[in-house]
Order: sequence, then structure tokens, then C-alpha cells
Amino acid sequence: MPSLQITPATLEFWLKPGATYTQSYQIQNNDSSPVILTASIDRWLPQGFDGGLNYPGLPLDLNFSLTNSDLRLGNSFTLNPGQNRQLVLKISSPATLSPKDYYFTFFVNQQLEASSSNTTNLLRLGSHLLISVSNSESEPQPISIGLFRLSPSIHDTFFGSSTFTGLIDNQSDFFSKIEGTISISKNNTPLLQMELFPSNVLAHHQRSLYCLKQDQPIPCRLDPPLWPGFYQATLSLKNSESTQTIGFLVLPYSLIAFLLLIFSSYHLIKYIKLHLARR
Amino acid sequence: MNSRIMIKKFLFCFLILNTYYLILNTPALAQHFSSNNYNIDWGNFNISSGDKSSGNYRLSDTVGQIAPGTYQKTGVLLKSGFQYIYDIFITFSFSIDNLDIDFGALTPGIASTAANTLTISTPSGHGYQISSHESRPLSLENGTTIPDTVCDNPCNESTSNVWTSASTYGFGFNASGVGASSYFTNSTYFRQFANLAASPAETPQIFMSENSPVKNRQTTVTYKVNISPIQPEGIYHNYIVYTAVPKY
Repeated sequence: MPSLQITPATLEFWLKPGATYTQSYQIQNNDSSPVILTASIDRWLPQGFDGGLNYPGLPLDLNFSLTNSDLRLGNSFTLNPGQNRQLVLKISSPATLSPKDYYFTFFVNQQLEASSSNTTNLLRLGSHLLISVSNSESEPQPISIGLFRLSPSIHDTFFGSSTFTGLIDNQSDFFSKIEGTISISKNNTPLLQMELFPSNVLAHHQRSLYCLKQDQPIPCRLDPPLWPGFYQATLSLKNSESTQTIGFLVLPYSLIAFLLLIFSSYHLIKYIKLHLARR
Repeated sequence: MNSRIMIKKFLFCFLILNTYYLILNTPALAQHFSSNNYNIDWGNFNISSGDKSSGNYRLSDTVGQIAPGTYQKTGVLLKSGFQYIYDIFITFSFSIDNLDIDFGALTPGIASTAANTLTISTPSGHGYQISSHESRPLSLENGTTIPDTVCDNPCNESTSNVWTSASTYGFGFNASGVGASSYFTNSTYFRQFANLAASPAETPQIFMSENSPVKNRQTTVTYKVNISPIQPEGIYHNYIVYTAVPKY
């Protein structure tokens, strides 16, 4: 069972123009047979609002090389069963490089070996590099709320849950993280606070909102029961002055429907009985 | 008696002085390199780092590095000390249970299928995406191909559709599992692999993804081929690359 693993899976750092950064990666072959690999770098762009990406074949702009004495990018190497190998990647930014973000993936690529089968499968495993090239570590990364809403629009006291959805907008040249909360209040009394998951919002891109639970991203869901009344939900971001508040009404729709059903059934039965008695 | 006391005092003083001498003359443990033309003294020389283990121990170390540590700033994590990466970052892993897919002898109008399982585990806080592409359609060495399927209703490398008809010929795949459900409605839906040999080359397409972290998430990929009665005989080959990356 061909199985590869890479550590670390993602890296985020600032790099000054003209500076060099060196990072080691551990590549492990968990298979019971040897595997032939190469290492490569591809530049990517974000796709969609949930952390997806694509590789349109952009020029790298930064310089990448392996400092391992016996290996270069694109050269093949063999990992024996259970073997763990360290690859040391050197990243250099040209002194004239424009200050902005550059996003890459460091890939290990399984190489094709002689096979008589119709279709041979190959693995390719990547680790991301989010690099902000800047003369300053404290470049402003203003983010703002692009969208904030609650669906569905009908909120029942007892049944069904509603989900907050939103988009955070980053119009700067550098990636930022979502830090903030959704606060639920009723009659200006705070009731509940949900912490947002610190997803990356890439430069000139938007990212969907997720809430934080046990270090993992989950949908920001509002579960019943909720007392009937008018509520307010406020989305506020720590690294932005931007806040947005939406109001929503919670009513015991299910209870009202149930009582209406009882009432109408009672009157229907009464009407039928009366109708039968007249006959 | 006096001479014995004198000898003892002498030995005691000798011992004290010798101890001082040895302490004061202990060489500095820095790096020193020299030749006739140069002298280099370094306070620190990084020798090695990493995880070492045997049946009885596991050690994570940095030999010779000054002040390793972790420096944190809002939105950025900078680290120094090579060994810190071993425990702080979580690994991303990907496996396939069978790399070699064989359809056996094909009968025109009767679809043949084969399957394998992809397994993925993501780092904490990150989802994943897996894309695929083929080197070329299933081909003979002379260039004759089994074309990529267009399904019963149109499908291509980025759109799935139903493929059940015995008179629809070609090669395609279906994926079933939590991460693939939004790309394939059910097991009758198929699509093409993105063809790198096409002109222009098709872009590898995502067919499996999730926004939340997963551990040992499995997806079954079913490969299907159906040939027409006029398909030339021979052994057809291609290779398929599965690219797995975490979400950022």
C-alpha cells in the first residue's frame, strides 16, 4: 500500500527582499516497498472561498533549491520501506522582488516504474508555503466583512438549527488571519459568543467564516432551544474595525402549528359528529 | 612530628593550587579553525538535530545551536531550533492501496471495472483537496486510444454524469466517499480524467475535498472502461497522478 507523509504540512513566514530562508522537510515512506520520488515547487492561486487552490503554471519569482549535498530539485531519490528522509529547502527572494504575497507548494512526486498494468497510479503530496515578501514584518493587513447572514430565515424555538455564513474580505497585498467573534444578544443582553476559526484570508481574496471548536473549524451553528423574541447577532473582527449586526426573530412556529392542528382537528371532529348526528 | 605536619600542609596547598590551575586553564569549548594564514573562532557551530530513536529511547535534539526557541506574532509563527518542527507541526499523509489497475480481457459492449482506495489524513485545522490527471487516454504504443468517456449524457474532466449504457464507450472514473459526494451524485456517475496529452493540456481537476481536518478518510475510486466492437486489439496503458494537498 504506497503511503507517503510529509512534515510540516504548511508554513507561513515573512521574507525580506534579498533574504534567504531554509526549511527542512521530513518525508516518510510508510509502504513495505521502496518508492522513487522527486521534489518540485509549484506556485498556486486561491480558488473558491474555502481554502481551495489551483496551479495555473505561474512563474516562481522566488529561487528554490535543495541544500542536500546529494540532491537537487527534480532529481530522483529512493525511500526504502519505513525510511524517513530530511529534505532541506532553501528559499531566496531576489532583492528587486515586489513586496506582496507568494504562495507555493513543495511537492514530493512518485516516479513511474516499469509496470505491465493498464493504468498505473502515482502519488503526489504537497506542503504549502505562504510567503509574505516585505521590508516590514508589520505590514497592515486590513480585512473587512464582505457578507454576514443567518439561514434559514425562519427560526423556531424548539426545532432546527440556523447557520451563520459570511465572507471575510482581504484587499491588502498580504495574507491575514480571521480573528473575532459572533456575539448573540437579546434585548441588549449578551447570551452567547462564538469564536471564529483563524483561517487564512489571502491577499485580494475572500474566505468563508468558520467557528472554532476544540482547535478545529466547524460551521457557526445556532442550535435550539431559543426563547421567542428578537435577537441580534454581531460579527466583529479583532484586526479590523469592521463589525456587522443582523437581527432575527425566533418564534415557536412548531408549537403554533401543533396547536393549530389540534384546534382544527377538534373542530373538524366536532363538525363531523354534528353532521352525522343531524343525519 | 613537625616535618609530617609540614608535608601535610605542603600537600594540601599543592592540591588547592593545582585545582585552581586546572579550573582556570580549562579550554573554552568553542569552534577553532586555523592554518598558517588564518584563525577562525566561532562561539557556536550547528552540528545536527532531529529525532533519534531505538527500541528503548526517543530523543529530539539540537546539537550546538544557540538559543533555539519559538517566536510568535499575530498571524505568523516563526521558529528557530531545527528540532521544534518535529513536535509542533502535524503530518499530512496520503496512500493508495493498489497502484496497478488491470481490466483483464475486454469484451465490446460489456463494461469492465476495477477499484482502489485512497486514504488521507490532514494536519490539524486544515481540510484537503485531491486532484487527478492522466498522462494520456488509455493507449497502444502506436497511438491508438480508448477515448475518455463522454457518459450517457455529456460529461468531461470537470463534470460528472450518468454512464450506464452499454453502447457508450470510453474510459472514466467514479469516486465514492464523504469527500467525493459533491463531485459524484452516486455510483452511476462518472467523469474523465484530465488529459495532460491533450492540446492544450487539460487542467488537473479536484474530485475529492473537505474543509475540515480528517484522519484516515477513505474514498473508493472505480475505474470503468467499455470498448466498441471496432476497438483494435492490444494492451492499452496510461498512468494517473493523484495530487493531494492540504487546504491553506
